Amino acid sequence: MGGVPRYILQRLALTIPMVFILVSIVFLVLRVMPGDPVLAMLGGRNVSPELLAQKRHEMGLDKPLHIQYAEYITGLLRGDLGRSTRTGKPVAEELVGRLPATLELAIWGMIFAALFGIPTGILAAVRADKPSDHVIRVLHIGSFALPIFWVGLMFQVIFAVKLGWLPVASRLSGRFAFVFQRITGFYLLDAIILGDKEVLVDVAKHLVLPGVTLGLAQMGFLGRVTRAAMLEVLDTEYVTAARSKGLAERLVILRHALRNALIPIVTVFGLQFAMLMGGAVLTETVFSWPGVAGFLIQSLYYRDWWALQGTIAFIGVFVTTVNLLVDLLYSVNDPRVRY
Amino acid sequence: MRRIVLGVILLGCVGWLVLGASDILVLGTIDRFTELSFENCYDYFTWHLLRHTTQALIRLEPGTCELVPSIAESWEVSDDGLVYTFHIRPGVVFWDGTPCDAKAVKWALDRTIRLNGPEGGVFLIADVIKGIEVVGDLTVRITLKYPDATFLIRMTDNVIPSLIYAGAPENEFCRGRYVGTGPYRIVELVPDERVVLEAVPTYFGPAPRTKRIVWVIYGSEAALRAAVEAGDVDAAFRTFNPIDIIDLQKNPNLQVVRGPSVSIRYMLFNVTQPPVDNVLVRQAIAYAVNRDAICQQVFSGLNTPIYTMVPEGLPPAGSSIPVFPKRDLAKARALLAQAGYSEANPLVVNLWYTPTHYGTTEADVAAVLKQAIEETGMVKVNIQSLEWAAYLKQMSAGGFDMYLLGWYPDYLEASNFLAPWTTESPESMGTYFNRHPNYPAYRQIMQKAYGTIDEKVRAGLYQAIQILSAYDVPWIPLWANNQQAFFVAQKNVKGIVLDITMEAHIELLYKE
Repeated sequence: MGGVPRYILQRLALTIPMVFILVSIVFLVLRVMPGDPVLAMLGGRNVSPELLAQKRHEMGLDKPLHIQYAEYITGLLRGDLGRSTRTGKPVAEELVGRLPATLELAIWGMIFAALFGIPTGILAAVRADKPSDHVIRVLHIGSFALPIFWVGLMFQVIFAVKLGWLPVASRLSGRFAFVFQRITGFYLLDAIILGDKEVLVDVAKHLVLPGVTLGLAQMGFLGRVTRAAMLEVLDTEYVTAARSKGLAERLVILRHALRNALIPIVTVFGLQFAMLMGGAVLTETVFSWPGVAGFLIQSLYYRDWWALQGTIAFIGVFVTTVNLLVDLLYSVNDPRVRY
Repeated sequence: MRRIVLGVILLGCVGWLVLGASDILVLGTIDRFTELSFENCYDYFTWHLLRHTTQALIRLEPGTCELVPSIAESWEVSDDGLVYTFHIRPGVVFWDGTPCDAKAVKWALDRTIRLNGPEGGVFLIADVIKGIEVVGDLTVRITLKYPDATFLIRMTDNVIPSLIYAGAPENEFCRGRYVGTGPYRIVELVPDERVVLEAVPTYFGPAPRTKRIVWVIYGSEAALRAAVEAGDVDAAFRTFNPIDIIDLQKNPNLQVVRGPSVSIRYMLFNVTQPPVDNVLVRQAIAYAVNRDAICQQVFSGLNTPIYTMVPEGLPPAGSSIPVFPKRDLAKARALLAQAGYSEANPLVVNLWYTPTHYGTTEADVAAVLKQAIEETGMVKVNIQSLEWAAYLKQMSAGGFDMYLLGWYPDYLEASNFLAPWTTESPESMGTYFNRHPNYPAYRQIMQKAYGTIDEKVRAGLYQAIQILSAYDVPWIPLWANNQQAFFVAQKNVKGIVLDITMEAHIELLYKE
């Protein structure tokens, strides 16, 4: 076996111990953190020592740590992430239910970031050190320097409360709850399948503010990386050669320069997308977006160990998978890359 | 022809009147539901959903909170207060058409008590019920282990384990798998996003004013405020920031309705922990705290000071008496001096709080309390904080000397504002009051009260506990938490009824 399949297998062989180390660290950290998950669950009222002991026994917390660990890891290998103590549901079911919301938001955020970040980055590189470059650089730095929660709140006040153009938060207006049917969990797709124009517009409107808020921060970073990568490539001999052959500047930039600058851009794009799985906490909170990050925070607050362990393991697997896909994209983009 | 035209106009008008009222109401909240199991849940919003989808034998009349018939149309109590016989209303059915008879009532209550999930409030009925018997198709008899004057209140829809349902799995938590007796059924539950409720035609009571209710769950107080201001929701309930409520009150497009609050905040002492094991110290701190400063500086005047644990208006009537003293620094200093402290030898005490469980204002509350107590010039307060889970652990282990806590009642009776920290669960609540020399007296009075049906006498007994507590100071009542009693709605929302249940009676709400 050679080429891509071998490379995938090699990467998977590295991924498995990495995820294993990650979940082991999370498992141990949770158990040394202050706070008792059983007491947090029972709420501290009328909790008798017998009840505490019974619940600890049911949850396996009275067993030695190494037994708890072994049971957790074997459960994980069977795909059993445990049951959330907060909601009473299997953690895997909770994650599957929330993943589409997070992905939908991340996709729109990244589309916004790419649409505005990459072209402005190219423009800044082409016009390096000219006034337009300075303006774009300020915009880029500003967009990822602004606190997301503040931007989100300002957007809500301006576009929802004052102007009334867009909804404040959530994924769907309450008045459409009886019409809407959750099929895939990707509301935009579900609205298209449903074929109701009003619902589709409503869902799209709900995506605008959180998508733009999330995308803004990513846009600045992506723009900076694009500019830096393009500057490096624009100085190379093959770009000079292309220009001296008389090729149009547009073709030089898009076909010769951009394509060669894409590797760092794709890397950053992929990493940022993957990181949004657990990193969109602020956007999800401000816009009441019921995604994976919000679940992680709620679980942390309630000391919901099983939910925390499961979510972090899930995010770990997701990030490494996206990384792998990004690496595979290199060969599509750059023929010199071989596996 | 003229008749036809008139007829059409008349029909149009009738149609407008009938259909003009919207059949869907969108409500906003920041509360979240957990596990829809009668036997294993204990949080406000899950209880709200359960009590609107099925009924108990009796209920509290919205607005007045009088005990009124529900599934049971009448009941009798034996002279010794041990046997309650409930006569079930004929014709009550679950959503699926199954009759709700004596067998169904017994099955539901037995099942809830048997499964008794650790996260639920089943103890509220299980501790007192000895047995449930079917004595006729529509008659059920409940025998108690001991007379309990609060039993009927515990059997209302306010206490979720007393709800009657069918169709739940026999031996596992129901987790939403049940049929109820109305007025609503849950159509859709999306965690952290929304709950969709629809009126059911089988409900035996008056039909809900709005057929369809959608609860939209928001992630923060700020988003909830913005949603009601922007008109994204017709109304919003629980919970707003104090400053937001004050702003919303000025909004001419909204109505802000405040209901009574039985949610209280207070300070507790571990009476075995030095230096607060000294009653003089506890009394001095009771004189030094500044409730007005907390209410004004931290809550912009929205919350109100309280001088007893029992909220006003709670049954039995006349139970609540303001027994704790108003602020008096001179008396505080005198008590501290009596306890052997001085400006040169100040009392050093910890004040524990938890930073997020009660909202974002808790650190400010602790700071105001510290300043107020230190104004005696004879106390040094060390502020300490722990996140909720760790807080509970340390509290129940007896690790706090002086600490802040909040209370929302398990059932609406004065005993529930007196017993938990003294006679019921003193160790898990961290006061360790069971080791206090006066503990037997509290216990005796409380047991006497539980066995006393006469409300006037019972109120007197509760007053006695309050008077004792002002001397022993196991707690210092601080303020009524009014924030959770505000209902903010668009002007066209009608039927808002708020009472001491602190419930949004959604079956009464409608939009014009």
